[in-house]
Amino acid sequence: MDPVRIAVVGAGVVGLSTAMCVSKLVPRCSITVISDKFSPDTTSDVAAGMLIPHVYPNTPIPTLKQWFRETFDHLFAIANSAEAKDAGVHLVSGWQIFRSIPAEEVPFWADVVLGFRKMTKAELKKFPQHVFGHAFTTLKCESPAYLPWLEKRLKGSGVLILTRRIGDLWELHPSFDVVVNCSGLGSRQLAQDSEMFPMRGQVLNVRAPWVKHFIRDGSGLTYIYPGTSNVILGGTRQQGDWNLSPDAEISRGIFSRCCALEPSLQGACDIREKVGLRPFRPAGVRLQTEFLAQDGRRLPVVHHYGHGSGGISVHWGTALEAARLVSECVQAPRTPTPKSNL
Amino acid sequence: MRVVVIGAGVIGLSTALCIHERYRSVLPSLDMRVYADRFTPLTNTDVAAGLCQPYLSDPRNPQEADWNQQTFDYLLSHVHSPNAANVGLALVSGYNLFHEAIPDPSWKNTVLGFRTLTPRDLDMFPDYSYGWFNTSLIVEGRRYLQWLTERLTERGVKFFQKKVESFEEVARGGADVIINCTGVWAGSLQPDPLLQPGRGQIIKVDAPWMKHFIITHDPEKGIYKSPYIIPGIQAVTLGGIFQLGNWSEVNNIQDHNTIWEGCCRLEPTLQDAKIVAELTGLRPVRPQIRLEREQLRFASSNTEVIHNYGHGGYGLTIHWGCALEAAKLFGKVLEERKLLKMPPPHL
Repeated sequence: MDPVRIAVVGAGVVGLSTAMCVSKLVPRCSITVISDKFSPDTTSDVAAGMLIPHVYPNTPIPTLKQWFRETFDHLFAIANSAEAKDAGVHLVSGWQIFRSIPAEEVPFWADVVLGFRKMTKAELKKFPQHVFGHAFTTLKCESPAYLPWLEKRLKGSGVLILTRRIGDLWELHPSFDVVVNCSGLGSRQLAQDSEMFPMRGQVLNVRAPWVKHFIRDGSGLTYIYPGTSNVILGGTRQQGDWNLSPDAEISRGIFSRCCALEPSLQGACDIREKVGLRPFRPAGVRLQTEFLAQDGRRLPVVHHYGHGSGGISVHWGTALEAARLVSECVQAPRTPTPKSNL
Repeated sequence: MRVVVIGAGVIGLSTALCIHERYRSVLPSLDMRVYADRFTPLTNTDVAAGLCQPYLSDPRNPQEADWNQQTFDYLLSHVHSPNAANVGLALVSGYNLFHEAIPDPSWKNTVLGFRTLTPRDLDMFPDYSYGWFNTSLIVEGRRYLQWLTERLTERGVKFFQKKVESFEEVARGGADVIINCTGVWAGSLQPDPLLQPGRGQIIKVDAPWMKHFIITHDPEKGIYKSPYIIPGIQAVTLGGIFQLGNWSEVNNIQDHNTIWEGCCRLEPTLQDAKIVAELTGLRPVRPQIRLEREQLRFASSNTEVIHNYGHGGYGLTIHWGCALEAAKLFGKVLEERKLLKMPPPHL
């Protein structure tokens, strides 16, 4: 039997990690990653990559926890290896602080991160406007390093990488047997998913190497995330806003909110503005196989998109799930079947 | 009143600033100078990693525990200011690692968020079976000395590069009070068999992904003889050398290898780190800090000497508490000489 030809559309963190998981799980396949954008021009590249999960409304908490744990364990192993620097993964400790006591004092992911505990009174003194907080150690996964690192490993396993803009998934027929759709916001067009919309986020990348801890305020609208070569200050959540140009007034607002939490940031320099459009899907992550059919042609598509604010935090867990769907698809008999209702 | 501070490391400059801040306003005649043969970046303070962490065991002089606490509280109150990075201050969290369980240190409530390590934490350090996690401060020697120098210069304190050969020379030059902050070289001004160099060597690397300090302990070997990794503002300090009695200020290749192998074993990601500097310093080791007054008589006048040296490997950790104590002693000198027009300021 000929190797199964798999196309992965999208080269953000979701596309590349899915290609990786598929290459490990599905025997005798040839994989091609196709995308118009690669690092450093993907949405993932703008994200700080802090491993703190977001809740998806239709995803049961145990599933979310599993995805987060799988991602954390995967990255933790990298962080403790000699690959850490190249992969852009490192540990960081810090605080999540609240202006009023949250309904859920211990979040579901508390035992996945390291050393989770409530902040002491002495620690809270640093934040006079806040009355409650969590202290813990988690991981930061920096896409500008992680994506090229994944790409290099993919190429090493024989995966082909192609720069091409796909306007319609049918373009991939009949060259490919299975398509894995990791196109994020692009699924609005490619999967005709009109529910997808951007949740615009603006951030500032600054040089402030003395900041060694993350600080996340309440719901996560304001945050300070220190990385390898810069600190990311955020942020915004602007629903339905497609504008990729930074807004100066918003930048001033972000800087001001962050300096209120960490006054030493006033000494920050090399301030750069960035914008990313989070691939938001109200129903949550779409992990589903769809058998496209048209004029007698048949194309199995595994959808894997819609991670919104939480892509990097769960990417490996959802990629493993997507790879399982691909595996099922590949094992299914190759006879024309009616489109199944999933 | 002429005050000469001998020594321009962290002890000299912080003591100078502490005294000047407290007494200049009530003693308009205060003329303060700093004499030193070495200034930043050539002092031992410049070599120190700068992590505020006292030794594990209680100090012989219980006052030192108070001085450590006072220093931490003082620096903590400044780390939240917009100027913190300019002073060389930053909060840093990290790990202390042991081969077996040991009692919590007496400073566990001084630092922030102290806890013992969980099994998952320890998974990261296969050679160790017990440890602590806490948040502390770093005060970067070089930046802090530069900041202290700026503050002192603003106040009109003058700096002189000179090698002082004797207290007498300084006294005959007109000094009424001498603050002796000569660190490891105090013995050349007045023999002190209790003072010895604790030679240290460190490698500074560019490893900006390291956000935590990691300090290992081996009670059989002794303090600072086990690998440690301490991130600073720009570079990460790797160390693990402590040689009592060794006066050599030259980097040693075996020590380099000891540090490099030990730290890379502890933290494999360091293998990719680029070395940016390698330095040797001499910790001024003494069973306890010498912080006391002494009156010396030269010709027909009394010269007050306030000794403040022998801070071992914890000078930055304890410096401000010692400076406050030295300032108190200075206040007593002024009282005795009836030089104060007003009651001494509240310290």
